[in-house]
Amino acid sequence: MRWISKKSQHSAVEDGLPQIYRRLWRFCMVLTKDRTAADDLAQAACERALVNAAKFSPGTDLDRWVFTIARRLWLNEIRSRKVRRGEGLVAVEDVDIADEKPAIEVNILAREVLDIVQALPEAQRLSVLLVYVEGYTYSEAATLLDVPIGTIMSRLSTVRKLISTYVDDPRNLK
Amino acid sequence: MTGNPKAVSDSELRAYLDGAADLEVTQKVDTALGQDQTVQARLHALDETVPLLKKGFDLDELDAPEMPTYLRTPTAHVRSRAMLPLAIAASFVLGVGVTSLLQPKSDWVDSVASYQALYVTQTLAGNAQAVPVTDGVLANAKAALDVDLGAATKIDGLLFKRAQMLAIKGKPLIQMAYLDENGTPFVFCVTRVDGANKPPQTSINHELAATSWVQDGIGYVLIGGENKAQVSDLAKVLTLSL
Repeated sequence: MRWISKKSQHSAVEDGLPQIYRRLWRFCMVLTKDRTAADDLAQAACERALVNAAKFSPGTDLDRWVFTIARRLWLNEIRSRKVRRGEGLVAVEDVDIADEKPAIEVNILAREVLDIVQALPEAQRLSVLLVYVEGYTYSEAATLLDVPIGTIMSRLSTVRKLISTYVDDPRNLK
Repeated sequence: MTGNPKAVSDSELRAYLDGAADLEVTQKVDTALGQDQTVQARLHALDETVPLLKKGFDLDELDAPEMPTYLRTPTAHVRSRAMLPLAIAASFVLGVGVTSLLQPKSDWVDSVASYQALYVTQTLAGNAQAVPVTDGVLANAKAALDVDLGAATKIDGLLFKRAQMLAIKGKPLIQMAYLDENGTPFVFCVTRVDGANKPPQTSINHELAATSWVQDGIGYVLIGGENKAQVSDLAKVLTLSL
């Protein structure tokens, strides 16, 4: 019975990861602001999830579990070393994450909103992604980010005002 | 007439979004948002920034990659135990193995080798970096080190994968990564160093073959695999082409 349970846990993780991988990568991209770093972090999170599949509860949300793994990897094993890529030098891909796609293909306003968000502090970027893009509830986002729900609301309010200012008149941010 | 004094109206939600709600309404909406998911859905439906954000973060617009195939195989489990925690750290920071060991007098080649030892085929298995991105990195390299590394993107016997601007103790370090025809990872690293010119020398460092040299205050190292003759030959090609 126990063996069956473990198999089920591993299957749930192995089968589920490919389905959520692109969203996981996006989460990592928002964290790292770097496409290559997002590749590395997303892959690391997947491997950590596969190794620890026995800890996953089938039937619960795999994305939240793996997002949490990715964030802890980022916080504990990377950022805490206080020695970041480039030590202040900005990798080219950091400067403009969408350079690899022709700008003409992108909705310009949405693209600029993306740039605004990517320029925000990490906590605000993650709150925006989880609530506005991923559709998490405020409570779920608060749980994942280990902050009170009021903090999430406050962060989103700030972002909303910033973006609204720009949407009303793009010159406001120039 | 909702019949429920705690119900939030659309006008209240609009005022909340516009920043025009008074304290009482703000608290009412905040409370509702924390307790009722439908209120959040209504708020987002009224919020003109939401579609922009969804568009901006669209997976296709971001060109989000699919999961690498190596993660879909059982061997991924094995590799992760040994490699990943270190590899992920190194990939971001040029790791403890490089940065923290790179005191001014230390051997930077040794440190780069310790970093490269974490690379496996899968580290570079993805698509090659887009040409404009590579060009941008190499332009930065030119500006930072006054070296033109364009020729290093085309080395017979090595498939170029990506270039990155890293750093050692605040000094820029350019890393260009490759796979050979057997899938063996190689990197060519360039940084500013102190000291006199040194001709190419090949050694085994962290169980990897490495050829390094210094020219005009710039240190170069090509490292990868265990075959000293292969690395030495490839380095000769590099020195001639740069």
